[in-house]
Amino acid sequence: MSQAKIPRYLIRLLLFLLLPAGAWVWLEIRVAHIPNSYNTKRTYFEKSMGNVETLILGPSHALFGVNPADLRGVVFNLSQINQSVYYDQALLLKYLDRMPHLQQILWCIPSTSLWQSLDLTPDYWRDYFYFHFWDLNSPYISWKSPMRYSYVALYGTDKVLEYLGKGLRVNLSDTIDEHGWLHAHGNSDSLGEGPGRRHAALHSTYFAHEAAYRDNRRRLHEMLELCRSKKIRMILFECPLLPYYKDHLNPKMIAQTRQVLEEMSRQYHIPYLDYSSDSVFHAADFYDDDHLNVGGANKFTPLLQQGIDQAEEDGY
Amino acid sequence: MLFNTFEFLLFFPVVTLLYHLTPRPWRWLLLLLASCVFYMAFIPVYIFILVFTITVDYLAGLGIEKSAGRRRKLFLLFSIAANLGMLCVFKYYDFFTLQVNHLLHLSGSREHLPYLALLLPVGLSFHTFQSLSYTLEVYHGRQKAERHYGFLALYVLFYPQLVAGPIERPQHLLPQLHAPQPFSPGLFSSGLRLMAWGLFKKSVIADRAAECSDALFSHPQRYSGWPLWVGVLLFSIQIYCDFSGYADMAIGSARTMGIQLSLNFRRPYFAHSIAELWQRWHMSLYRWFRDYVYIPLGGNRVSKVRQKLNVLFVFLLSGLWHGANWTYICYGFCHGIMYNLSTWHRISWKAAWTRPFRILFTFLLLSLAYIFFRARSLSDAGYIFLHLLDTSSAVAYGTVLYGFRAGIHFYSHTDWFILLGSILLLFITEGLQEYGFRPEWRLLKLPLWLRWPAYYAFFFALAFLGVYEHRAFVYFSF
Repeated sequence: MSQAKIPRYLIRLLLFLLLPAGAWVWLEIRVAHIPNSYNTKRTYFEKSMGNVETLILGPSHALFGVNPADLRGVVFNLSQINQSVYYDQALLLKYLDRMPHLQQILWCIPSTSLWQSLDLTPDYWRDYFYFHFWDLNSPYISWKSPMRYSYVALYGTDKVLEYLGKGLRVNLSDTIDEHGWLHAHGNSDSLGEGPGRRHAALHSTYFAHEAAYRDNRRRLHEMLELCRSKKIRMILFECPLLPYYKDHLNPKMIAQTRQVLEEMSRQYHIPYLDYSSDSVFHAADFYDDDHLNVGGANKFTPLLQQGIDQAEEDGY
Repeated sequence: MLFNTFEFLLFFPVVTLLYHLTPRPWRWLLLLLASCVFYMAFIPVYIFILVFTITVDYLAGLGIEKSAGRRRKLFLLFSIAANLGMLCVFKYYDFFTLQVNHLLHLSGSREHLPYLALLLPVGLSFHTFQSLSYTLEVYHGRQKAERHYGFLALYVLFYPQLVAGPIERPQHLLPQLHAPQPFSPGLFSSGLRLMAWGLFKKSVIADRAAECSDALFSHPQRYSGWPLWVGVLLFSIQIYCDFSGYADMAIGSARTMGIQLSLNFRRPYFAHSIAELWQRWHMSLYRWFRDYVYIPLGGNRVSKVRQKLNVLFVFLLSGLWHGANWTYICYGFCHGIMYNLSTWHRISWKAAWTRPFRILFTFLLLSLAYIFFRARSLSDAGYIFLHLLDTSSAVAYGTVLYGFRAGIHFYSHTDWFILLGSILLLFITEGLQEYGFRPEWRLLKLPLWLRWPAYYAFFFALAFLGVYEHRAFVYFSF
């Protein structure tokens, strides 16, 4: 008798859930289509990848600091905030065969990059953005995480509520141009010695994983081998930083990264251009302590082009 | 597995549906397997701790029932030693070793005892006490020894209350496990509603309040005056919503299977004395200590002074039950003192008009005692106590409001609005319940076209106003 009540109750429960489930599905679809720096960049990139001659990889330093329009040829900036070496490699492997004109890769490797694994940082949610918007299924994607299944969970319900308040008419990628460069105008509120020190201390803690260092070193070698075999020129570089940021990073991290990159530069006969202590850059060129603003990027990119040309003349 | 995770969102409907579809004689097995999966989601190998204590208690229960005189007591001691032994090894060994090593160091010795540094099994204190209450009840003749190992295992492992209570008595839970109730739509819906309310307390209130209180208690030295008060008061709200939210979800999820668990909280922040608070807060633990420690020590049959000392001893033990740290011992000591004082002065404060003041005063005392509970060390607790009334900072901040902002700068206006609004909703609901008005019953009497939108609004609030960062329940670590 009581068992007979179950189907009736289930139908009632399903009827009750129909409306919220429908509303949720609608919301998921709408949220999935919100332009963000991942899906926008992918759209721009896939449109132009057939012609791309130079590809820029790396984390936010390159995203803010290198304006592809100031470099020669068809250039696309594929870097992203906190993009780890893992994702640099994954993106290149995914698209390499579809870039027939690719001649060179400019790979920005800051001193924190080699020690970083995205899943071990507070930005681990970015793994799920690569999963959803670049179709990159990394080992860091957990089946237990709702972010794997839901775009609402991916953005966070508080953010989605905010977007709902704006009628879901939001564009999170309006500072990204069609070459993948992020335009950051002026100076951020956090530009200053105090925040710079804190920022550096934070980076030295978040990005200090020995296991990640070993894996990233291996990935670096694999990438360089691959590029050599495909006859793609690789240039390793680092963007300008404000001294009060760089001086407060973990010195062991800086020294070891520099040593590894110089070693690779010799081993693979590729240039390594380090602008992190370049004194021509001042606070006015920075958005915050480790990211150039539009003016700074327009000052730095021609310098980078000169550096690349010079390296070519030097036989690299 | 936590109740506020995606895993549980999958686990719960599957287990509950299977439970109702499984023939009644086999439901215990399904529940036992599900409970094992639930527990093993933390540290799988620790299931053997439970297997060990269940086996010991199973044998001890049978032994107690079959024997008489001194042998009965020996079986009981065997069970107590095994259960408390586990608790001591995992929870207290390193704490006592640390104290001994300090003493050795002070005496100039270079010797030191080694630490075990074991990870604490979740809910160890809860299931140990529940397991112990089985053998104690069999010993006192209030419960027959369980002959079916599976049912005893399920009594200890029953997943809704396995890791944070309520601590059940065998005579209440075992018969329900033996005789599963038929599916009842009313009970099922009521269970779901209670779970939703518990999740609201945990995710919307406790976890949002935790963002502020965690920051303040992690680095109390950065604050003084009003910001410290904000942290302390928010922690009182957090701990209540966290723990009672868990209890609601536990009771609710058991209720969907037709199993009634004991009430663990009865609007404790409406208590008008510390003595009354303990009849409303973590009631199952209070009853455990009363029946198995306080009464055997003499209860109310001894002299007044002895009685007060016994109360103090019981609260010291309950402090230690929470954790192996001097802060918890001080927390227990504070409660012991406050309990004794409140039972002395209860009569003179009985006028009805004083009730709101007594409620506020009790809440304030409790919040101050929580400083010991939440502080990382006694020195942190000392700093907080000394700087709560630091007027220099209040003057420096200029206004009280600015002081608030300085302490909670990480909260946006929206966060504050959500937090204070939800706390208000909680206290209005509990206030109405306190005076006999049952908002949930009123809701049930509403026509469907009003009731369902009300549920939808609540679910919307739950989904969008909650903080879902997989923050564990505070009492999981006890």
